Amino acid sequence: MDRVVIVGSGPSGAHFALSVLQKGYDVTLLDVGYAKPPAVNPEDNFIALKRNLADPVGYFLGEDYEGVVLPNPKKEYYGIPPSKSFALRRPRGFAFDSRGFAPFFSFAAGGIAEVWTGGCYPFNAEEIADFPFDFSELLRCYGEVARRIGVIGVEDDLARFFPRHDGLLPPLELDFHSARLMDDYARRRAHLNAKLRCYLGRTRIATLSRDLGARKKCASLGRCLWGCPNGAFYTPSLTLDECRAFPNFRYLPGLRVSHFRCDSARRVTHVVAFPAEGGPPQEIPVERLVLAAGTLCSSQIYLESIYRSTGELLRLPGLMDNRQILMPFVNLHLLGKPYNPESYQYHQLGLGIDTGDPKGYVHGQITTLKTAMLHPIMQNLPCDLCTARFLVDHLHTALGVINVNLHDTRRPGNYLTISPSKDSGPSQLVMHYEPAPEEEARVRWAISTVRKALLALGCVVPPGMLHVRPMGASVHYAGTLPMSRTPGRHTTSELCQSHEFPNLFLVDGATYPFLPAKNVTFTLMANAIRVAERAF
Amino acid sequence: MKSIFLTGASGFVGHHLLSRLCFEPVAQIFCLTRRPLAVTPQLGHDNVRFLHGSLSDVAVYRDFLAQCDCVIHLAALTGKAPPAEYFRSNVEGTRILLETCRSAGVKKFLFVSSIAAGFSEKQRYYYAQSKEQAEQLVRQSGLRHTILRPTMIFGPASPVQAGLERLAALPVVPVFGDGRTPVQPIHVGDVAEFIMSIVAAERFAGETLEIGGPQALSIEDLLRRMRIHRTGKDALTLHLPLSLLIPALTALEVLAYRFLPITVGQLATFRNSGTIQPNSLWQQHAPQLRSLDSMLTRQPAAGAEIAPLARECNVFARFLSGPMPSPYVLEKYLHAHARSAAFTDATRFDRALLAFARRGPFWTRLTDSFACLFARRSVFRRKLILLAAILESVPPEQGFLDAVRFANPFALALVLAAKGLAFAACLLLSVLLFLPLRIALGPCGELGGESH
Repeated sequence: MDRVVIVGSGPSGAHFALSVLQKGYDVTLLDVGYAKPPAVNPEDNFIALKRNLADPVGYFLGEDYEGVVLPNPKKEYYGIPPSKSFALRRPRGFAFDSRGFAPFFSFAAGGIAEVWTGGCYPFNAEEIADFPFDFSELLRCYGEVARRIGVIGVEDDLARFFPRHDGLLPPLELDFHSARLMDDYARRRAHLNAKLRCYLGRTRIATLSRDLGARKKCASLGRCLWGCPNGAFYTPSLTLDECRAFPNFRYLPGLRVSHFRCDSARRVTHVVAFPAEGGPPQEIPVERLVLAAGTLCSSQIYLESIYRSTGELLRLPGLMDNRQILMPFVNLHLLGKPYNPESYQYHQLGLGIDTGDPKGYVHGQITTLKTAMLHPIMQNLPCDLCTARFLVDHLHTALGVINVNLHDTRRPGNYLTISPSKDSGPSQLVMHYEPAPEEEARVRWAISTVRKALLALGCVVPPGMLHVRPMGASVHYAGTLPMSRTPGRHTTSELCQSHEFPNLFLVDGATYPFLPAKNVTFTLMANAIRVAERAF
Repeated sequence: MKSIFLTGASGFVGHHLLSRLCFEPVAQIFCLTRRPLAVTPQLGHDNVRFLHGSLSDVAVYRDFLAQCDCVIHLAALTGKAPPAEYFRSNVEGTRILLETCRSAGVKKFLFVSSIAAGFSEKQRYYYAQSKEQAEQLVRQSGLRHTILRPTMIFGPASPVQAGLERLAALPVVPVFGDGRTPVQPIHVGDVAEFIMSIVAAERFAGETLEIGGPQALSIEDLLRRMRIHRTGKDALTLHLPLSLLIPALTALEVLAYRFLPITVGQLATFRNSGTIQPNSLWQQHAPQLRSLDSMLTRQPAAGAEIAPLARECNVFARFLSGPMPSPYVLEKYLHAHARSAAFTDATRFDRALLAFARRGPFWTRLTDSFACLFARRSVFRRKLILLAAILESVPPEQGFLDAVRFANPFALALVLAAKGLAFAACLLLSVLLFLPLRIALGPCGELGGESH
């Protein structure tokens, strides 16, 4: 049995590793692997945490007060809290260049999904029409992921967009605001379905409504944003922990892989990795190499390897990401109502819009405001902070935000390439993205439809608060080394095996030929399991 | 000196006492605080140890209490709170502490009460009632004890001094009653000295000792002296008869206790003599006591740069949340300025905005009415947002309450309309004031880079 070397411990890498470990392979996982800090006061809810921590300001705002959101031209309402800053920490000397794209990189153990919001949205058969394998394969793997990580969900009006799979857990109790929206939806359902083709339902979320192994069910502490302290909310580092229990698993953190080397038959023989905090490179022998470092970093390793062996500076076209629009809203039915801090904090509802195009689904995630840092909201109101504070106190329960996602397609003008380093270190990744010409019209249509749907539910979007996020913000990157039915240059097979290098596999988003308007994480995990089961 | 157990170290008097006590040759000072103390420059002594909890968390402190020879009990609920809270914190808390002292074998107990415990009229003055009851518990405890009753305590960051100075700063100074009631303010540093001398001399003979400053004067004279110190001019005063005020406030308290700026109980200062019965301890210290003038003159603090920032923090906190900031909030506000360049003065216009805003909460409101629309990224606005972020990170009792006060939609609509009008008026005024300055002085500084 070949020894498998995996690069990256995000959702793809962690679930791929677990699957091949279960099959008995010897696995080495190379990772920069910045670890999350230990959970503090796991019993405390949001308010109790403020009371019981020795230094609550240090926890919520950080040692350098980096958690204070100051007025910024990016108009982002929230930053990553200090307790999760490990997810955005970068290795020494890491740099990139981008045009039209504002990327996030994560070198954390567990990857950027350590700071995800848990949405588990299976693609449907139409959406994977360009993927060169049968939908039933993926559907089965969705069930396996759900059993591994714990996903809550029900079959409701959103089921028309999300295929049913095994392993779903019963849902959590809805928070007050979400429950009110569902009640109003029940009253206005006919109008919303027929006139606007909008459907409201419960989102599927990677959190536990009952204990799963050592993980406890959601205790409604209202601390999701700062990091679930008892493991109810799933992040990939939990699967990495599972892998570490296998004797045939070797985890090598602190290494940033630069490139791989091949023999004359184009078989990968070694990977070259630099210590993340500086130092001479190491070479690790490889029998089968699996890149799972995320679309951007896997592509960079691929580009660098070809550059180092042939001198060719490639462009990998087809970079995709979901355009996201943040639409804050006020539910007029809930003005002046008190809020309950003891609640699951992230989105519990989704708004699906049927555009008539089977691949053009528009997906909105509705997050109602529960516990949160309020100064980012207060400062955006057009009044002095004292008045703003009064307003936020009385609007707290009535506030929410809908995060609207649009699909993306592979286009030649959106590409990744590298700019080689002057010394022997890793090169710099270069990204280039231009929105599709018709995107502006799609964005306008989506905004107008969501506005009407919200109005039907008694909610208004305050003027000036809407924010079209830059490309790169959704961190759903895909498409640079796509699966293809026919072997072509810089593509992969249906089993995500490179058509250039026979013992190289890519199991992350780089292999997607199309990106629906859905969080990709759930499909990343399912596809990684599919590849591990069929190709190994 | 053997080890000392101190409650209320994070409060106004406790903070000063600890700064003084930690230089004494005390084996250990165990400080029970609900909050971590502001780590002031003079602290950081290894003989100080903090225990986090309330008086009812006996398990947190029982073992440490057993190592102590003497307890100094300062912790108390002051200000304005629901009546039951005073009795829970001040009476029940003291009872639990006394019981734990007895079981832990502590010998000496110094209780810092208040001159108000001896007021003749304490109706609806729950703080004074609770202090009187707590004194009784101390007397009956069987421990060797002394009860200290300070008069109104002045000094840097004194809540009572700040409250009176706010009154004295109004265009017409309201005086409740005839204004002839005598008061005798004492400096917080002198209170600390009295406490030190009792502990050093082991004077625990069951006495109740009243302590005050060197000078008694009428409350009206005090307000006028404050005004003169502040502006150089005497004040116009307006006497509000207590015979009308008390029944009106009593009726309002039934309806809206939480929302009143002043309560009947708090008016006791204007009705009861706040001077002391001289005693041997006071006479011994009298020549060294700080004068009233020195209390009213604003002293620059030891760190010349910290003083304006601390004042600014006080003003901004009063604008944002009402009460004065806790020492922990102040410490964090100062710390942020030391850690990040985002909060330092940048341009001439930034400095002008800050100069206006620091004058007082009303000026902060006026400045922010302008800045929220026309100077969103000014240093002033960043500082205000920083403080809001700090206040919402601390426990609700110390920061923002985040509470709905008007659940009735009709009442909420009325209040919102009133707030909208007030904002519009401030906006108009502020534009008239700041727009010419903005044109003359140029723009605010910008934050560089993608983050601060």
